[in-house]
Amino acid sequence: MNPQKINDYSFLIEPTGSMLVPLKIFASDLLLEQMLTDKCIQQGMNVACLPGIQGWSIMMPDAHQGYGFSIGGVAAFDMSSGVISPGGIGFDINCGVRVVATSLQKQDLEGKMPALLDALFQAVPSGMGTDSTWLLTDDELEAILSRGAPYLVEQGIGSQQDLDCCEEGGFIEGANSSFVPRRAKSRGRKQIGTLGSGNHFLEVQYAHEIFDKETATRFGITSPDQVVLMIHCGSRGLGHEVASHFLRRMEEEYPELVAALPEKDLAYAPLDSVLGKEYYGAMCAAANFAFANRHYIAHKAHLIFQEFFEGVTFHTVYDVAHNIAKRETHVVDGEHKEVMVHRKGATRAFGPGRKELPEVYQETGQPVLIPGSMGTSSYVLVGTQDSMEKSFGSTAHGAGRCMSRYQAKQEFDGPQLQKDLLGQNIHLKTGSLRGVADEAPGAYKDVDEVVRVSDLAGIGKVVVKLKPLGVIKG
Amino acid sequence: MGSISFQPHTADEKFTVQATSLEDAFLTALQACSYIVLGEGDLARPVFRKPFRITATHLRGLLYDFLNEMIALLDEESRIYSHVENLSFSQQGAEHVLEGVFLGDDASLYEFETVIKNMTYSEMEILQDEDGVSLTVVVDI
Repeated sequence: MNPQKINDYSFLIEPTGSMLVPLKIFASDLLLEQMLTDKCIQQGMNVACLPGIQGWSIMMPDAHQGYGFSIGGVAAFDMSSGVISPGGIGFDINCGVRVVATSLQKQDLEGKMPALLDALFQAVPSGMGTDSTWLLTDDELEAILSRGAPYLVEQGIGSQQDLDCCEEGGFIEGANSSFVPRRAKSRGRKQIGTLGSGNHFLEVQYAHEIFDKETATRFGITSPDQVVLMIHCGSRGLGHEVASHFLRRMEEEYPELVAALPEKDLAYAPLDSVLGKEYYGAMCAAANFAFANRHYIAHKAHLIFQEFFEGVTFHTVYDVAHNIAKRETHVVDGEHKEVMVHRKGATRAFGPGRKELPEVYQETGQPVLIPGSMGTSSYVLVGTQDSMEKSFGSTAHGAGRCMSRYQAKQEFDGPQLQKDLLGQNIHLKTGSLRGVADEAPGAYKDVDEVVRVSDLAGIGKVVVKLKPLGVIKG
Repeated sequence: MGSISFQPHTADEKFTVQATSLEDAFLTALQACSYIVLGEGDLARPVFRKPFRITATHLRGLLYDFLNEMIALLDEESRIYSHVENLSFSQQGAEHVLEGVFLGDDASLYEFETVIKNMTYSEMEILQDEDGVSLTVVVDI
């Protein structure tokens, strides 16, 4: 394994062995050095061997070791000869991010953050042992799986503006809830409007630095110090069960294929097979659940903000999926072609003029939401034409880990971490201080470097840098 | 009961179990999952019982489904299971069968360090020889 440096932001590994296409890595020297400490590059090479892959196997600047695909992996597959793989999407289907711009300024929150965070913490269940206050009926769950966030708006939850500024309008066509296993429904029934655990969070942030004022204004972020809300979570146990169920079915149905794979988590089904189509239908349904989950959390947060700040308004900047597979049209070998793009820990970054974007973002390109690690900066980027040509319209999804959770627990202490954050005027609210140690900022790559490489490569240009004021962790 | 060794893994939790038998290895792997969510050394009290029967065409699938059962029951029933009694392996035709009774407690009574999203096949190994059984597991956090 010897990645060849192409320029200051990318490396290439030409096909060897069973690789059908090259592996393209977006990274600086520093980020590549970190990638070489785990198995992610080998995982990117493994993906390059899968049937029907088009162009390149691609790794984003925040890539690190995953299961099957690396986290930060992108691959596009031919619709007739290609495959769909749960390991190329992630267990947390449609894990993603929503950013909401408020009508508040940073100074409006002075002296109110502890009480505000307490109220948000009560309203938005997180971690284990705290279920949603909305136990979904069978009909409600079916409606969410089939219609996603728009169903909630029909019920008076949130607004049309939220849907307009949501990837896919908050639901993916092609969802088929009949392929969602019973157990997945049982796991998700009491999880709508919940954050979950791990690296998921709800943060109150402010616009620290605006790099592109015109684009930021179009996104609804109009001035420095404007308060925004960032929500990072996914499809919860429902999505995990869908992924697990189909991974096991693919393994049982295609034992010879799976036996030949270097990792069983790369198990796949041909896109045109019955099983492949069933998984796609179930995956879309789980994605719709995730869109609805973030939508409902944002709605509940708005209600809490209204208790503290009379007349405060919320304006959804965007809602993006970073664990998903989608049918999209891209230029492959000079021809427009429909492909199944897998993004696992990667964000869609479509440039101007794509029909998938809402009217308001037709001229700018889509907002790309990059959460940092706890206590560090997050970013809003904008999708570009370059990303369409270089990365199937994709860029990074976050900071990306560089230290194991086990090591982080040895090196960091939850209560001390909370004190350190408070020293930076960042309030932390969590159900378990012991549990936040492995999410310490020191366990993650430098998000500034990840974003710098994305910007340099032109696959996502930086618009706004956000800084946290308050963090809720599961 | 076997021994547990947690290993470095960039994103998730990886552990290796050494045990004298397959039964012990599976039970120890369940304990390792409890340590991940509750903290090292912490197990749920054996208050509630939940019988289970799992089938798979190979041992790795059986281990995957066994640990995933514990993870799913956390969501479904809000109960954390750290122990098993009457664990037995058998073979029915081409299928491996695992049966037993989970023992555990109401999850809301415990402070959780984290939640396991899912089992994975990543780096999974089940090695059996005359010295015993070694399992390696990575769970998705």
